[in-house]
Amino acid sequence: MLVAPSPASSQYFRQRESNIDPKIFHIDDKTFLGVKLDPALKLKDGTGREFTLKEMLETPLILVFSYYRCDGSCSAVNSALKALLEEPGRMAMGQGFRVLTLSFDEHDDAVTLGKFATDLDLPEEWKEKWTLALFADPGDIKRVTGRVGFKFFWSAPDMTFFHPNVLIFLSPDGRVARYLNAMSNDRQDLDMAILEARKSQFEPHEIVDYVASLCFSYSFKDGRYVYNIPLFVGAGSLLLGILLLVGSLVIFKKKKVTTREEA
Amino acid sequence: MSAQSHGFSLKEWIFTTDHKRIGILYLIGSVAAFAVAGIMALLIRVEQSSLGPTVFGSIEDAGNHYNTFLYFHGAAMILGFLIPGLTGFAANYFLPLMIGAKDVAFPRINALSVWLFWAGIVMALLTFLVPDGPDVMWTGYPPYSIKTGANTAFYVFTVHLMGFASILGAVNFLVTVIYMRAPGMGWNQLNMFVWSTVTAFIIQLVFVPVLAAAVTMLLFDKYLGTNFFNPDLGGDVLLYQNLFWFYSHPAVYVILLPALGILFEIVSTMSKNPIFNYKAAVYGGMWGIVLISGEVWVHHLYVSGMPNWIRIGQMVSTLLISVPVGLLTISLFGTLFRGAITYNVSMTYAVSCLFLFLIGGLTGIPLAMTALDLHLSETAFVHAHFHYIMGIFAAFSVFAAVYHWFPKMTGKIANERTGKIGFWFNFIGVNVTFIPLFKIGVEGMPRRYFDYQMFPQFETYHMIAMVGALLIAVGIAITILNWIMSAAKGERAPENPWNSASLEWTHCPSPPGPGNFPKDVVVTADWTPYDYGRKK
Amino acid sequence: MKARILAVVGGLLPGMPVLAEAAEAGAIQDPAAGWDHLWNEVLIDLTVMGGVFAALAVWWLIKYKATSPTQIGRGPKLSRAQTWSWALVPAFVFMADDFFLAAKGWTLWNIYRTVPENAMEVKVTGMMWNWQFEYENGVTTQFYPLEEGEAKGDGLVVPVGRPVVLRMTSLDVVHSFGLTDYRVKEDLMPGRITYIWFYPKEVKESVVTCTEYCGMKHSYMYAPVKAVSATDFDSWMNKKKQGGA
Repeated sequence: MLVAPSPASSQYFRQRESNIDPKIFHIDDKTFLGVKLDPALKLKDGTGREFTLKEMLETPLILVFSYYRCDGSCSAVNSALKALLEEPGRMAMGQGFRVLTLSFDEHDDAVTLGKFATDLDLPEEWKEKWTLALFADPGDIKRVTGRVGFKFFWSAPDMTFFHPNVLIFLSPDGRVARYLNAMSNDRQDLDMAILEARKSQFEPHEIVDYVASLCFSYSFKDGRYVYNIPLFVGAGSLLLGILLLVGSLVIFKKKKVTTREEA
Repeated sequence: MSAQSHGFSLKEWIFTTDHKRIGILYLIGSVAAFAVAGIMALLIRVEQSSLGPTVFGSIEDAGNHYNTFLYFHGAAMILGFLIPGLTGFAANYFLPLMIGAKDVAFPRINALSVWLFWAGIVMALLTFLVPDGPDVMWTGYPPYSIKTGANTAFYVFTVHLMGFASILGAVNFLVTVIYMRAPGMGWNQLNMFVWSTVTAFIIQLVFVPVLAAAVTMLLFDKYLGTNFFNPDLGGDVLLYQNLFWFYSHPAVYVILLPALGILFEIVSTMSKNPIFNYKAAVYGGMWGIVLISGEVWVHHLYVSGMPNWIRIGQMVSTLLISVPVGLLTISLFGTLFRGAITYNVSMTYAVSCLFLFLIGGLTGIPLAMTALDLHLSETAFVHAHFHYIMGIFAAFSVFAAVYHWFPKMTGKIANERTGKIGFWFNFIGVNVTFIPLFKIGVEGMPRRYFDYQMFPQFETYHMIAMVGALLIAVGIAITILNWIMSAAKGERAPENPWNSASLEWTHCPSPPGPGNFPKDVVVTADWTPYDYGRKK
Repeated sequence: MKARILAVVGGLLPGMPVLAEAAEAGAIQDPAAGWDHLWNEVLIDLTVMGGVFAALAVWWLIKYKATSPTQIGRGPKLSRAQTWSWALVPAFVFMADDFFLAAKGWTLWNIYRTVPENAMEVKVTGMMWNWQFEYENGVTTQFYPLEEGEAKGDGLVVPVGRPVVLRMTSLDVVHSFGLTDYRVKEDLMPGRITYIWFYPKEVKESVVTCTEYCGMKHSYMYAPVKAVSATDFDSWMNKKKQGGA
């Protein structure tokens, strides 16, 4: 699945430079949905502390592959996510989900991570829930990114990686529940994807959220959630049925006399 | 006195608004649907009786034709025979008589309803005339029903016509029962059949629009390029299944309730016993079913990947259906207690129904349990289960009804001897057909297969099932011929041959003329339709 | 209430400690064994219930046969208290049985839905009219039942002693993965992912059939499921990796 950076592909990109076919980075999400990431995957944070993916997975997890030397889209993606999470949503940051920004660049280290974190400037109270991390063993990078269909290319002339800007929603058992385009969705899409990643394991007080989520379904073509129209049609027709019932019980009272006389 | 004595006039029958004639038209239409769908069933059994394509030469032919047969058998039996036979024929003919009404509230709407039903029958029969008749089963699940090359539209239009006919009937009969009961007739004096029809029609009225909407969206998806059920464009494959079963599970109660209502009438009349614990059966049993019917549909989707918590919740609600059904069972069986039972053909059918009901009902319990269902779902076990409870049980109660009210409808007695011969062919036939299917179902025989080369060990059982089907075919032929012959030249029946206490026997002639009752019916506070004269 | 029923049914089930043994051994709770156990329990429950009603009916049908055409039934007339008790007592008995069964069913259901940690992952793709199995290392197998009159391909090969979790989706219409011998089944749909898991404990060949109607060759949509020893599995997999048939 993974196309490794190679002279040939660099050349390919040089010729097309600013005109890269975005389809190369398209993740065929139907192929990768449900893929399980190894919970024992070792990661390390900016302080060098090692931890496993499993520790992040008590709740759904939003996984963002970035690289910290990036001065373009990666900052934009993380900032956009931060901005979305600052918007009022169904779930407050950190309640019911966490975020993991993970570098796919083997050259990243604690220093570049630290600089990236400073630029991102997460609020203090978020820092427990939004972790910026590196692969503890850079040898895992290709395997893990390849497993979820995340492709990237190093373009030497541009001194930059080309990669998809995608949010990956992992369920608590470490399976990919949904991909969302990192740049073109709103808070509601985010909430919906988190609810989906929970596999319906919601708390009783969240039942309203859950019912609301039934009104939407994911459109693979649009890459976002759209209204689940048949549900509304169905609900409307049920209402019609109930109205018919109530109607026949109450409205026809007058009819009684006339019919009996006719007959 | 009788309408028929004026001689036959086709025009009168076509433009009739008389509930009795409409009932007869429903009966003829539904028996026709039953006969054709029954022939399909026979072909299905023959096809399965041996490995490989049996009736047809090639796999392609066998696959396509067999699937069309399955579609027609399911759709026509449920939409064309069971529902119209019980809520069309039986309700139309007997309900106004039982409540002492001269006709239904809206006779012209009633006429429209029966002709819509006939149009539905014709639409269903077109399956065999149009190229690529529908092959979508009676469930019509997308995406198959959208992707198939067959003409799903005929399925959709059949549902529309039958559904609309049924909605009109529902409004009509609810209004009739509420406003046109004989003066003095209180709610606790209604016949069980009247109550069962009321509750069945409430379910029908509330839920049919949902089915109509679901299949309409199917039609749009297939022919107009909409994407209601296309997951690529935000549609939801599972939603159709939810909408479909949201109607179609309650629909089994639309069949079960009137069938039980008929049995109550017959068992009570032939045991000369009042209904045992009438109020528990009506308010606990029938209304209990109405109440629960809308919250159990997901048991049809246990294998569809619905969220775990819904599957567990609906396992509990599905199991709880045994409470109202249990109350009805106790009342029905209890009505036999210390009775004075005589066995005519209709009582013989009714008694056999008690046992069919036990088998069909109890085999539903493992299917209600999510984990057990995961293995049994979509196997011959399910197939046998719902044939017992919905197919045979309900069909036998329609046969029982025809025999019981045959003197009322024709003024003649149906031949008892021939009737009983037909019964034994039918009763032995159904058990020979479906008991083997229970067995191979548990062992994994999937439904809707015409060939089963992965399970060659099941061939013998399929062969036995085919023999059973042949027995049924003989039994049905005897039964239908018996009706026709007896109606033409049967023995003249006495006014109240079964000594029933119900209004249709005590207050009106057989067959009833226009206006039903020679004199307006008024009932007293202590009258009940099950008063066989004990306390007097 | 539940305890009472438990006692009643328990009295009828003296010799069925299968599930208990499995739990004691700390072994993996296996859907198939749990299914067989619960199925037997439910069958006994049903037989008792059905038997009571059927026996009563037969007895009464014979006993209360009318002796003269004018005879009238002497069914009891219920007092108000009797009416209520004949409604409430049976209702509670049925309800108790329901909750008992529901509790049993729920326990088994949890086993069905709790995938063991070390399970082997296989991706299953359903299509008209074929199953495709993809292992984690990318090895893909397929089975063609009707290919030139002779079946071809491997189907699903799994090692004995390791749970297998199937991640399933469909390319076209709804199919269903019915694995009779392991008592599991779940639909495959386009655009959705579903799971089942099973636990092959002994070497045997079974079959997966499509159990959701999917058109003309629905009856031929099946594939063998071979549980083989771990060493056989490894050598088979090595052969597959080298592109062997």
